Amino acid sequence: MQDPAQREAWHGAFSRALTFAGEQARQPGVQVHVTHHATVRDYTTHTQTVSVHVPKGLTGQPARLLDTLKGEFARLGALTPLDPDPIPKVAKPGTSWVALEDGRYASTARITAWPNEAEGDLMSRLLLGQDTDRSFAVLYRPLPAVQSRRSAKWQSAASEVFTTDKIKAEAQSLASTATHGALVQGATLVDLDAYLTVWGDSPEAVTDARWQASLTGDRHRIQLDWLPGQQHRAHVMTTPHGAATQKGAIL
Amino acid sequence: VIRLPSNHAAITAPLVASSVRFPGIPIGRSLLDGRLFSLSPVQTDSALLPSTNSLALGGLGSGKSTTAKTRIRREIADHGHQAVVIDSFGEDQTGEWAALTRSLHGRVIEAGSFTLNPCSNLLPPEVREQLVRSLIASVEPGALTPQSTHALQHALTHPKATSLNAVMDALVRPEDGRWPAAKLARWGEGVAIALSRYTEGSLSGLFDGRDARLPETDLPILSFDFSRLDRNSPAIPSLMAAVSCWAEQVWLPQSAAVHRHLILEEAWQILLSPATAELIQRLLKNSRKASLSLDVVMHTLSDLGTGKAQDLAKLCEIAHVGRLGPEEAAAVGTLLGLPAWAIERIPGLDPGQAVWKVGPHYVDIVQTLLTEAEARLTDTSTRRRRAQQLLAAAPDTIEDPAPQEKDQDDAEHDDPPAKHVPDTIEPALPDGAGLEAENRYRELPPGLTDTRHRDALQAAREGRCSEAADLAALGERQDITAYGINSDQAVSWLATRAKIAETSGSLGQAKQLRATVARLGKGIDWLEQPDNVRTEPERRSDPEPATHKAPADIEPVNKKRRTWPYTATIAALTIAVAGVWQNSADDEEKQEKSDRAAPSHKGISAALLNIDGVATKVQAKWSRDGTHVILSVKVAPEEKPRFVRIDAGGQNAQDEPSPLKERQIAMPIHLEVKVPIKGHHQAVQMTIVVGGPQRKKSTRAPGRTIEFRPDRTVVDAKTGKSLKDY
Repeated sequence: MQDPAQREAWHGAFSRALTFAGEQARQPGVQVHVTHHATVRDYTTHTQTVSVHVPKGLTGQPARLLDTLKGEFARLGALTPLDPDPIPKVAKPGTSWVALEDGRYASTARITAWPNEAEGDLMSRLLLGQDTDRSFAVLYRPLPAVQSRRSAKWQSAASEVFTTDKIKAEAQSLASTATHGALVQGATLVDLDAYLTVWGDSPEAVTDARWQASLTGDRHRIQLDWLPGQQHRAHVMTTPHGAATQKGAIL
Repeated sequence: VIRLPSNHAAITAPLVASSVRFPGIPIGRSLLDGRLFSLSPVQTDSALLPSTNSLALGGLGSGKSTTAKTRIRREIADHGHQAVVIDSFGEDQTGEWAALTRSLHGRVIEAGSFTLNPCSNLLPPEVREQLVRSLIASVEPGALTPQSTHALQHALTHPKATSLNAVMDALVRPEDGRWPAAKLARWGEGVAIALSRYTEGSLSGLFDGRDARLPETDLPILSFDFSRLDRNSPAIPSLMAAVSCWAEQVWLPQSAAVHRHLILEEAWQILLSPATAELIQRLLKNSRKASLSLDVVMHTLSDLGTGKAQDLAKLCEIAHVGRLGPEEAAAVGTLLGLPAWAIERIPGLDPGQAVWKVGPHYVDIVQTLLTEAEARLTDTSTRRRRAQQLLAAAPDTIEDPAPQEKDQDDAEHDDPPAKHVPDTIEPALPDGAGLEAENRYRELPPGLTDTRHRDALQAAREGRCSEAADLAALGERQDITAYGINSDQAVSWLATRAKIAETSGSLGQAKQLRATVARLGKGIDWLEQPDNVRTEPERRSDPEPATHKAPADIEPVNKKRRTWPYTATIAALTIAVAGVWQNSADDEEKQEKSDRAAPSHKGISAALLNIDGVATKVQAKWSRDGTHVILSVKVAPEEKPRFVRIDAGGQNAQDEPSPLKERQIAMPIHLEVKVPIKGHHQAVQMTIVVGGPQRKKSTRAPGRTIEFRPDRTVVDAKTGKSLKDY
């Protein structure tokens, strides 16, 4: 991940794997859920998972699809099968955190904006070399090729028609040109939802961790939308159990 | 929901930590992802790491040698590896590795306080020649022409060439060989001049001793401390040559550890000399076969010039680079093939941090983590620390995982040396570390405790006779492989087998085995000890009468060598005390005997001895005026001896009959020496060494020390038993 050339090659491979996953079904719906959990003690333990969720009725042979995608992701690195821990039950929901049965406190945010000018090492700077426990997850829903072309077409048409701001229209046309180029080269469009959970042993600790995470987000130009109150199952999104419904919403 | 093309979405994949993990000892924490970094090169898959040599680079205070020391300490403690350190750096006149070596019960050998005999009989002839040649090459690289090499070879085969001075004599006044003596003398001039640096020049006192002792090969760690010598001393290449020769020819074949490390601390001065660089290069290339890792610690590769540095870097698959200046970092990075992002980090590393490169692809930045005990043992800049005491930042330590280890370490440091039980043996080399280690062998690293003898005997006592015999046979085979068939270890197995045979009821076999032990001339006195006191030979000294000084380069076989530094963990103190008591008893006995011997004076004594299958007649004749004794030995030609030598009172005589040609008649061997004495009643000791018809050149001939008394009795000086007259 530190070496730019190798990192770029790996990202290319991951992109191809997502495209391949999107093309496995005629309808959109295959979900790839990638999580990263850092347990910081004397040494840091990283748990990284990739799980693929195929909604019921999407394809006649879901097992075949899963095995195909398993082979595809195995080319990205060494995969070991993992039985995830059961989802910790919520003991007490608070206003800005939830207390879990195992004594931990969690607070989860959805990532609503990514930096415009992101270098390839965004994730390694964000996730490595930290000093508290943290979970991070991204849910990818790749679109099939036909649908992604249609989506790109409507997006560019809409931005041409409805944007009156010349500068903004120009920027959007540049973006759609880039998307067009990527689609021509065989990429597909991917819907992504990203979540970040911070952990603590007490309400104070988790509030402090949340504050630190906000600062980190600002530094990396990531916008965080903290999920309070009612959405007390939000931390599940950052566990391997994350993807549940057809639209990826488990809240 | 954010909708992005998949190539843009890919950079959000949170799969950032590498899964590569090496087996072995923990080293520290990765600064990139905080993971534990552990590495034992020898346990790593050989496809990933074909060679296990490592290279440590870094500026002053970058923590490179602390990391090297910690690695070795953990390898020895966790996996029972062995290490030999060539330590040429330190402060306060002690080597950097001394504290660590002592804490691991190793031995520190200081340059200048020991002399080595490169022509000693302990070394096989080819090693002797190699060693003398490398000594010459390190002072006069041009002296070794084909002619001078032949002259040297000729001189080394001279029977009297048992020390460097004698080799010089044989070079200057050669005997006729294949070429006439005059020619040989002319050829040998160059090498003789080169060798004179060691006998009378600036390097005298290092190699010209007659003393022939070699360091033990079964210590967990052995440190050759060159720190007292000047950085640029010409002695360093020579000493290096001797040490690497010893390591290659003696240590590697004899040590029984699973893996060995040779550490070169501040290696640039060693690698700069062409003679030693060649030796190191050879060791590096053969390291895989010999299960040896070379761990080279140095400042930077640019000290070495270009060609050699590249060779070294290519042969070291593992490199860790501590803080260096930007230019040096760039040069080192290019040589080692480090990626640009790692090279950029090198100038900004803190002490203890290093860029690690393992194998061709894996690169990590690692902070070495030390326990408290390790931090104390590896601290080399105590002076500086004292000066900075108030300002010094707390060292990066983690809690010591093994509290009992810490306690022991504390105890070691608090114990005054005088508290140790006086040991009766004189140290093989003048350093007390080994003795201290002896008294503390309770906390041995695993794998070095030897309970095999006890286990076998225990099995026999419990009636599991065939299992006991199997155990003994297995142990014997291991020790023969490790130490050789004539070693004390191998013989001690014969004794154990005898005891097992006795316990199992086959008395005939026991008798036969005991006879074999007796015939080999090894010490059998410990055989007579009751089982519960000791079951293995302990090292123990025998007091020697003042008149006799055994020649050091021929080792009488029944002299106890220090071969079992780590014996079973049965009460060490009891044995040491018993040894002292026993020695004093021996002294008294001896005194009584000489008192008794005084009145009856016959003026002659003789005995018939059988050494190595050769019957020899020895005789001593006292002169009438009581000023001297003539000691003689006769061997009949039918006995076909290969080699006979006697030593007494500092004088010696020897004969090595050449193979008979046709129509030549074998002549009896008759050797005599005249030894001055102080009166009619003085007893005289003589050492006789005989090589039998089966003796090979490379093996040491067995010998015995006997004592002639003027009352017509001859006794064995070791056992005190009287010998048969003829």
